[in-house]
Amino acid sequence: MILRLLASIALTATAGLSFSQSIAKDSTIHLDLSFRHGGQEIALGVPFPTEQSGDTTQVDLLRFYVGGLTLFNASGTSSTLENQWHLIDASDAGSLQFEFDVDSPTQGVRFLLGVDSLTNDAGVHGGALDPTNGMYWAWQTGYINFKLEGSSNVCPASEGGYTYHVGGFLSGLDAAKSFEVSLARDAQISLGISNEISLVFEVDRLMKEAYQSLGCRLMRPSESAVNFMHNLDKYIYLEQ
Amino acid sequence: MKILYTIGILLSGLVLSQVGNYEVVIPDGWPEPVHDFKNNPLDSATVELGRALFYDPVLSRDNTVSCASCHSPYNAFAHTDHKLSHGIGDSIGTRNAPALFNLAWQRDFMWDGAAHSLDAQALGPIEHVGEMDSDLASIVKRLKSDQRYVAGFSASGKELTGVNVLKALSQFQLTLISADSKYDRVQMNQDSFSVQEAKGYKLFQQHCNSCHAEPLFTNGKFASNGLPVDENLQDVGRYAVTLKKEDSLQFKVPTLRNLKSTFPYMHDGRFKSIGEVLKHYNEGVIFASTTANELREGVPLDGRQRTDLLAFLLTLNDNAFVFDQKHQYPRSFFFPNKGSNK
Ligand code: HEC
Ligand code: HEC
Repeated sequence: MILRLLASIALTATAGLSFSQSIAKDSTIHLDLSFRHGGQEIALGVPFPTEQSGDTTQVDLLRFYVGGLTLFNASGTSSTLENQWHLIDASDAGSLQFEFDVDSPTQGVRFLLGVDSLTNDAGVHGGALDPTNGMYWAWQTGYINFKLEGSSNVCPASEGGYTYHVGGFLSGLDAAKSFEVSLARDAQISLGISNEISLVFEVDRLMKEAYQSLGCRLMRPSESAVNFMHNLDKYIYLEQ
Repeated sequence: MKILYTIGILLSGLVLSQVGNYEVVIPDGWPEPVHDFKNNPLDSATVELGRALFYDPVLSRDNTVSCASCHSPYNAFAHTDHKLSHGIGDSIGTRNAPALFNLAWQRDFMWDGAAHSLDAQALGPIEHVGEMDSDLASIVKRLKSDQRYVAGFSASGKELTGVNVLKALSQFQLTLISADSKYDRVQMNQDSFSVQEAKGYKLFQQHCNSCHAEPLFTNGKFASNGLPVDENLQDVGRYAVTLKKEDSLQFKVPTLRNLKSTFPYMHDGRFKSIGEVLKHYNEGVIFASTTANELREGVPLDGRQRTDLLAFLLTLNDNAFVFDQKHQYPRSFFFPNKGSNK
């Protein structure tokens, strides 16, 4: 997953505001997400080589919920830019791009991956959380936080490929996880300067580890699901 | 919510409450519902939509199965005759369909509590291959091409979306309240128990009330009442949801209201009659690590006591509820021109 922070200057120099103020107030950050293997963007449905020579892996579906996106600055002060649920879907370019206005330099990003237990507890919701989006378990209640499906040499399509459906919200099985991903200290995104940073999500490494600990399937809330979510930060980093 | 209920008590004695524009009547002496009406306040238009959806096989892949196929109004919304419920293409499920009423007082749904929210519960049967084998997105598509539903949703002021279809089903089910049995009338001093029923009531309070607690006749918790595990079904109950050892073989304590209409009994429908159930409690309880303490010795009742207890249990039947027209098939929705039968 790449989060590209593109602090561009959207100047709307309205009368009465001094020039510098309008830069500060109206810096727009474009955020876009993408997914990588071996440094390359993945394409859905297309096999790509893995470290193991001769082996390939393919991702057919990659979707997950993100909530509470917050940018924070070097002194730790944070500003939640919006308070909405997003269904990130690798097949839907529109779901990978965000645009925020900020008024202080940005050091990193915080977000919840998955749907928290309070929201789950309250039942079903509309919008991105509408159960028609296919991110709700049917045989039991609760949102699916994260779905990754595809095939590989070790989980061949002929045997159903691999399926990781990760979720759960009951006590002890709560599989939503908040992440905080920072740039290096000296690399904050200043206001008014065009910056691109990426929140890289290393799908190949994630899949390798998922296979090692889970085999080809994870389809229900469990301790493994909780661990899966907690380990995700190993594969996410910010890159400028 | 709470305030509204309280106002109801102050004003009327009868506990009335205005939730949305649908009046939920909380029977005298009952606790507050555990259902949170705030997320989905009831209104008459939505309740009627939910009623139509409940009886409409459009919810199943091939238009053959409705919710009412397994939850019949004449069986207090349970599925009788069949031990295990039958779904699409006559596939047989692994559990007996429970009765549906007084759901606002229920926190967990399904025998193992796999559903924690009534608003979300209906996705289970809709998407279950053995039940309706459909999916919510295609149902929404179908409903959008049906003028009656388009008009109905517009009358309710809600968008026709997946979440609102589920919430309509939930609203209708929340209106299914059974509180008009002989037992209830006795509690309100409008009737009295026969000598036999009164003796049965004593036995009930002594042996059964810890789990099947008055006035709902369930404490809403999970327990193991010592049924031997069915070798074929291997149903571990609540454990499948929580993955906690102590929940193994625990099932939700069912209500004992309307037993006349809800046979066969237990999560797998293994007993056809109340007599068989009492025999189980008398001599069939097996000792497993999670079997409830109060049942470990069984419930020793002689033949006469069992007859007394049975007589009491029959006072929990509520014909007014079972035959209430306003919960039945909404003919006027499906056949608006053929005379109304609400
Ligand atoms: C094929 C039969 C079948 C159909 C169709 C069906 N159900 Fe059920 N229903 C069941 C069974 C069986 C259970 C218990 C399942 C379990 O415990 O795992 C159940 C449980 C329930 C419960 C939980 C009740 C409780 O006390 O725990 C509700 C509510 C419910 N169904 C509503 C519905 C609705 C609404 C529909 C239509 C969308 C529907 N059902 C369609 C068989 C069915
Ligand atoms: C320790 C708690 C407990 C006690 C005490 C208890 N029960 Fe139950 N009862 C249950 C549970 C749990 C079930 C459901 C078990 C299952 O299906 O696996 C049940 C099921 C039933 C059912 C079947 C209802 C249905 O709709 O399927 C009847 C009838 C019943 N009990 C009657 C009684 C009577 C009468 C007594 C007193 C002699 C009693 N129970 C005592 C927990 C209890």
